[in-house]
Amino acid sequence: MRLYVYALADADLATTGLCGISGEPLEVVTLQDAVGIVGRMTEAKTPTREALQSQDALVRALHERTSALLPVRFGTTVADAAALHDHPTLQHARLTQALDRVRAREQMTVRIVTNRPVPTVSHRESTSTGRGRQYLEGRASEHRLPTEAVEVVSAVRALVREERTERGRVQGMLATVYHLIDRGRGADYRAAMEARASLLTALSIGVAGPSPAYAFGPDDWTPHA
Amino acid sequence: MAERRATSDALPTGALLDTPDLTLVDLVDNLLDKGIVLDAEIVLGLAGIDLVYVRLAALLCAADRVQAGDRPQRP
Repeated sequence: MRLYVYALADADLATTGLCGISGEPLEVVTLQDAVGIVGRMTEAKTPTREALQSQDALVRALHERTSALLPVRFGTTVADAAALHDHPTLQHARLTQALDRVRAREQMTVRIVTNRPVPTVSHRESTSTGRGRQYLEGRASEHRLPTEAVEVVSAVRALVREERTERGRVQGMLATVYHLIDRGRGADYRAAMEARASLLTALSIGVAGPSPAYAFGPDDWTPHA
Repeated sequence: MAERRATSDALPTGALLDTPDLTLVDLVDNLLDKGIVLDAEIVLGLAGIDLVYVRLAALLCAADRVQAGDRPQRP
């Protein structure tokens, strides 16, 4: 029996009336000023569409009940409450800082698609620079938006509190942009983005959200930040 | 909230942005590719049969992230 971890949140989060994706009761593990929301499971979860939808629905419900919540990736388990409490990524100061970052905010996601050829992210082109510099420049370029994408997101700049970007990794996908905005401003964000989209001729824009701040965990808590 | 498409031009690639597939894209993006990583324990199956059991710390990501051509080459 392991603890399946759904989210980390402010300590005031109540789970009354909610259950986990296997129907299990939710438990609250205290992590100093924060809490971890967990359920007990006997086996690993299969990432079916239904399981993903269930976890997303639960995380959204938890998000509605507290001002600061960090979703945890699907399939995350720890041995027991002590293992979660002592987990090296959940040191008190870092967790508090991470929760402060998303407090009273929510995420919007914008996917920008183009019909013209664009180079996908690659770090293997030969250049005159050394391999170390080439590698670092390649990593940096992953998070540098193409000019067209910068123009698109400028429509919502006034609403954005934080931004994370990813260059397209498949042909046609120009970029994916994740924005943290103040809670309750999602409709304004959509209206601004759709007004901008109506002026574009060679791009399609998909706007998703608002959602919990899935993309705004600390950089060094993800394997490819 | 379901994703809506805002577009000024019909693009073949833009079909990706049509619902409900876009909702699935969001689910995969958010739950498998984003979120805090502590440890991952996951079973990959097909037609109700568990095929692969993965128990890793911090290596669970979208398929395009593990394609050799797109991975950064460490010096």
